[in-house]
Amino acid sequence: MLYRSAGKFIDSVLSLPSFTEVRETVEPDICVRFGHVPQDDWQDSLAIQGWHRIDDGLQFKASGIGAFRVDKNGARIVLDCPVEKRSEASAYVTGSALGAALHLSGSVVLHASAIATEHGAVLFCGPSGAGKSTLAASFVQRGYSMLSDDICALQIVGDQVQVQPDGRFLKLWQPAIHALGADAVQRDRVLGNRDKFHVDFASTHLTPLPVRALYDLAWATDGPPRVRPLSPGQAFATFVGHAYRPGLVAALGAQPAYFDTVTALQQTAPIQCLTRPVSLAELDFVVDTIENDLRDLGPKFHSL
Amino acid sequence: MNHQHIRQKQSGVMAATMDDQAVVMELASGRFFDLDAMGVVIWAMLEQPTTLNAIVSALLTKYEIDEATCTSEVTTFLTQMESLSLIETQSAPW
Repeated sequence: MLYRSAGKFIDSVLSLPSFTEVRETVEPDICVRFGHVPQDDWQDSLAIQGWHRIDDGLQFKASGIGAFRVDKNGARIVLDCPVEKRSEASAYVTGSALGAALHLSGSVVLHASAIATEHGAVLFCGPSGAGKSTLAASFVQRGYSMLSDDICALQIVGDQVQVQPDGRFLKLWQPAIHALGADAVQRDRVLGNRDKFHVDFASTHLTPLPVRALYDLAWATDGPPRVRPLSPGQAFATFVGHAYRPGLVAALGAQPAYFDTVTALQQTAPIQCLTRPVSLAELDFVVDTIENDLRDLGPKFHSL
Repeated sequence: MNHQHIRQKQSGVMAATMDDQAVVMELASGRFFDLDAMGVVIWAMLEQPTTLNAIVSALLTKYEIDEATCTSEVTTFLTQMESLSLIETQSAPW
């Protein structure tokens, strides 16, 4: 099966239900295969629990699922798990393993969701549970297209920093699906028995887009949604802090690439903090706030 | 602070300038630091080995500031940079 994610073609022997299959004849950038991942003398050699550096790649373990090796400088993902765990393992292939593959191939990867606007890509950054996907889904409900969910691969092209499109479905918790009125497009569970599901809004932007704005998501205990500028130092720290697994950035010596990317980004896209209420009932108000901020920001690039 | 010591930015440090501000990153720790306008000028001088006296002399030609205040502020800046391992200091060979 052939998929496309983060601008890469992925040939996988394992079904990856969070990705959309593509029908093209191309040389894949990443192959996903079953195989043996030695675990006998495993020692965590990185500052990340369960992760191990090997000659041309990385290995990691997912407790109760199996082990994964990402080698050939990110061109191959080897999966070692029992047959009955393969369905759950697919979430690790499309998450941690793909993230590692992108790092190894030299990409700058953020833990972010992105939407396409007429002025470029808008990124929402934050740790797991920050509400990235829910906020992106709220924009899709207003007619915007999804560009990427959870993983954003960035590339400097001329004077722009571009986000690679990603054909994956959004992952949303059940309450968010209800709040968004998206029950009709809910698909299968993401992992195990958790109430998190893939959601197919059938609205994905398929070409790279320059970044126009980046919001670091934070919760507010009270008050309305608010966009707050960050100092350059805060903006840089926010960007690197939201790398897809910051520990991998340091382990692979990729800090200079991240520094160069955020330096280029600062010329075209403000990095700001968005604080907003936790309540899903306030989502429309949050989207209004961001739309107003984007309107003030105006165009930087040619329209879509 | 010895006025004749030679100071230069450390090799494991990256910096980016935006208008009259700059960000410095120490690669080993992943820490970031903001520089204001005067910090940007001093940081640019630290690309090459230089001394406190040379920095103060250069700033006196650029800003309307008295020498004592300038020396005090630059000394504070360099001391902070040293404590954060962003610059290295060597004894002058003279």
